Amino acid sequence: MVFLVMHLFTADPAAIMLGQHATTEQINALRQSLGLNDPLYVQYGRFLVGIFHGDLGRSLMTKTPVINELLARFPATFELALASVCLASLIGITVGIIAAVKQNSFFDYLSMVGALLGVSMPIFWLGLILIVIFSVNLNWLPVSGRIDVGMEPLTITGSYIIDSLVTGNIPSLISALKHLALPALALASYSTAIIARMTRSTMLEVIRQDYIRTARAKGLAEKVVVIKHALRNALIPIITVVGLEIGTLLGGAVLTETVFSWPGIGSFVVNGILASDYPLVQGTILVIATIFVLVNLVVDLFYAYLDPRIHHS
Amino acid sequence: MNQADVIIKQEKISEQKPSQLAEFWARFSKNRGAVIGLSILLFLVFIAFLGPYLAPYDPYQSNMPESLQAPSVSHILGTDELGRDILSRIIYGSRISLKVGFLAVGFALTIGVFLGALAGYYGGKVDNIIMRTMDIMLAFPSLLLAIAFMTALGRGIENAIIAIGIVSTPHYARIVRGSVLSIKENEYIQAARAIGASDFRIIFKHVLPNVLSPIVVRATLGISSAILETAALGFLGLGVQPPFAEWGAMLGSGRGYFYNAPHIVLYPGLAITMTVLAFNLLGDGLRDVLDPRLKQ
Repeated sequence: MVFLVMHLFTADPAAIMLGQHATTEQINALRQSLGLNDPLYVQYGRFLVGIFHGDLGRSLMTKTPVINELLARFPATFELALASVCLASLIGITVGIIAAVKQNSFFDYLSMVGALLGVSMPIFWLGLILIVIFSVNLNWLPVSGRIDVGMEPLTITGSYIIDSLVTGNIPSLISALKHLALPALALASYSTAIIARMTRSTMLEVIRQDYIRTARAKGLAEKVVVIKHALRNALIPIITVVGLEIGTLLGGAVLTETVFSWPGIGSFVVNGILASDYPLVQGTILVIATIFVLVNLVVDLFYAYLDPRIHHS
Repeated sequence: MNQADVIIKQEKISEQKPSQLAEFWARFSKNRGAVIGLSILLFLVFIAFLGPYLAPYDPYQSNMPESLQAPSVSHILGTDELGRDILSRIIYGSRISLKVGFLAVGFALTIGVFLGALAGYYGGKVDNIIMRTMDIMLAFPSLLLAIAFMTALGRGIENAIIAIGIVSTPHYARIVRGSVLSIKENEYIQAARAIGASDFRIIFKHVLPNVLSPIVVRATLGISSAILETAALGFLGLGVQPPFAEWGAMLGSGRGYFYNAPHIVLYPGLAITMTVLAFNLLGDGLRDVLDPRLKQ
């Protein structure tokens, strides 16, 4: 699908590569050498063979293999997405549980109004507002980038947080965390709201079940009833939503990385789009979609762990 | 009791029974969220229609000496980097956002309902081909797929409508297919088939009216997603192009100046949030009102 969409391109990649002053003969020669004059199915076959060899083509902007560019930027996006999904799950599930347990309370109304605002707010706008408040006015957190200049830890995984922890470099860790805070918060806002709403509605269904009444009748503490009996049974739909939200986070990373000049895949693909760099856009979207599908597969496999009645034969 | 009495009694009963619309309105008006959402939406539609009469200034007229002015009596929401009145641009922007939202969802509805009805009604190979294509589309985060389509189609309002419409299509196709599958074996459908009604007539006259509720709810919530995606595309410089006063594009162009003039991004963002909130409130409310389980 990505291949087909990208080949509907109105702009000619050869013309883009050669610039404005190229002659028709030069463009034709380059089209021939790039194989762009071949029938679509031949180009598609070549594209598929390339994928299986880890070759996603060369970027028209940087003239380097797309896969190298993506691998260099992937740790930054991974770090941001992971921080956001952890933040969204932690806040979303906690707020959802409290709202369900204290149904119709002030906290319940407040959190659900907050969740409604969370799903209605554009994350790139929230990012800009957070910068105005925490960076420009309060001067607490940095405006952009991943880490202060000269503070980069020794590269092991590419994730500054993990690398700082592994090497015991505390100043780098603090700098990396400060840079990560605002983008992660902005990116997590939408997913937090969705997870909180889902957790609340699922928990409300579960806590009305007979076995919860039985657990209470046995004299178990309310905390044990909620965490051990209710939450465990409500987790499957919540985990499903968390898995689906990773797709939203990957899409949202394009916007968040642009706002915070975060040097990840998202901001890179935006530059690629603006430069009509189709191999780059094609490769990036393919990689992100593959991650999305793999995450959903992991979520499916996780069901069996959460609910022993589910078996994957 | 003779036949005439029976008819009179039936007429009396039907007079006493409220119409479907009255019943819907009675339930709708009790839902506070839905009423608030509808009120905000009507206000926005009013603003959008009367935009040229309400806007205090020309939204496209640059006035450099007055650039980046904070909110004041002469410019209630301040001015942007080119000295244009932000309130006027937001008023004009409501026309673009609502237009793109409604048209993109209309596009997705038309194609999605058609494909979903075909897949659900005919099943077999038709179902497999249509739904596997929809599944592939759903495997991509929707914003990224919209970006891919915009890259291919080029920038502009019309292409934004098509791109957002295409990526929203699978949601409608899935809902309609599921609903069609659940009702196509009902007796009244079999009866229609038995008296020789064509497939076209059965689908459009008997099947689709019965799957209207989930479609209406999804479409209402879909408009909010479409407005958010339009704003995101505009913000990235891929959607509606300058000088059009589109809210996302206003945020995108204001990015370079918001350190010194935060109002330049504050108000367009609030306008997007309020509009999306209105559709979300209305969609959630409609879901509660139209849910047959809650009618009992």
